[in-house]
Amino acid sequence: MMLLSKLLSFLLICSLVYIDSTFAKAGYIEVSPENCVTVEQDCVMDVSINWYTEVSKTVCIRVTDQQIRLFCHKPSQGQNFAITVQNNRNIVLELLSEQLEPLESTEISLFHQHVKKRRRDIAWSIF
Amino acid sequence: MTVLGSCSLGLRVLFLISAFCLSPMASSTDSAYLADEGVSLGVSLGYGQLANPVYKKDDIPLYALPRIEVFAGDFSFANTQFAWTPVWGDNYQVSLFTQLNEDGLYFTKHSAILAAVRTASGRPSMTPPPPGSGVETPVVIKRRGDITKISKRKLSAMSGIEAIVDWQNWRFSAYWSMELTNYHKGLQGALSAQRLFLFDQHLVLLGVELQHLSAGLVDYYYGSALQEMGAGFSPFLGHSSQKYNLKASYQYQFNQQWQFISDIKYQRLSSGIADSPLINDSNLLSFYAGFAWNF
Repeated sequence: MMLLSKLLSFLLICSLVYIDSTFAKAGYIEVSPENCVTVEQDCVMDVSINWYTEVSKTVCIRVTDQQIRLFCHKPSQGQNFAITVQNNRNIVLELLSEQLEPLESTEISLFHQHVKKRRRDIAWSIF
Repeated sequence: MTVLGSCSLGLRVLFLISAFCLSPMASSTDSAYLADEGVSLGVSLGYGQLANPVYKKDDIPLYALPRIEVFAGDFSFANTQFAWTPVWGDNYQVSLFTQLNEDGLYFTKHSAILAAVRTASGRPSMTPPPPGSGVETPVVIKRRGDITKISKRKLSAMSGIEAIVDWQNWRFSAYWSMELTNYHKGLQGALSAQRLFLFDQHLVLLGVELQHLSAGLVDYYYGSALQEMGAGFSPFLGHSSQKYNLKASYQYQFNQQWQFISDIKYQRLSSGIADSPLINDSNLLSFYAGFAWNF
């Protein structure tokens, strides 16, 4: 009986932890597009940001590309906030509270496409 | 190396057989004609020879071949060829290029040393037979002399423009070049067609090429003037001429680094060159086969 009650207590605690992790994050930040494929050194593109949070009435959005940019006094929910990003590696976007506490974050993944050059002849063409 | 006319026929048969039999297995040609940006190095060990048509000059042996290629933007360097490709699209490119003239290779010091080693090469005498010997001789009569006493021919560099068009698995190209080094002020052009077959790790390339050489270029390398006549050669004035080339390549890719490579080229010289007293062979077969390591 004692063992059973301990087991039930453990399951209850686990459930609460799960519920907390699932529903406490009542917010998100999304960026579109999520990937940038470039043949250049830097990726330069226009992106659109959507976000939502219940934690704060106004929020900031921090964009870390070539520099760190902060867009504050934004409402708790926003759609199609357009900016231009430029970087030579992944670009991080964060949703922050007015006190600049991180709430959510997302990334734009950057992929360098290796440029193929056209040859005058195949490799190891001897004559 | 002198070859008979049947070799030409053989290559043509190979070309036709390959065109019909390998077509269903062929895939895109793109990968073979593309290179990564940056430096690419390799070395090959094997055996082959570049046929040398010049009298008493040995074929040039090939044992080790380097591959030094650099692709940077619109510029490329591949062994001795430098190219700038400012115009290009999905299936065409136009390049300005600089490369060494192959005729100069036949007279380089290296091949001259080899020829000196093989003084008694056993080549048949080309002096005309005595009158009344009973055999009808060709119209062209060559008188040979001492090849070591002819005037020096320098290796020249050519620069020009080349246009390439890719269509399905074919590559058509045309180039026109003029001399940079100012030894002969010659011109050279060519038209060529190549058919590429790629299947699994196998690569087969078959090609035909028609080269045109201006009179200045031919006369510089193959003409026979005062010094050559003093060395015992009959006089000869070079005219604009053609070279007809048939080429076949086979490569097998073991992995990223290791490759088996082979090339064979049959070349026929037109009479404008072949009639020169400095020329011994007008049908030439060059080949190479070996293993290549790509760094």
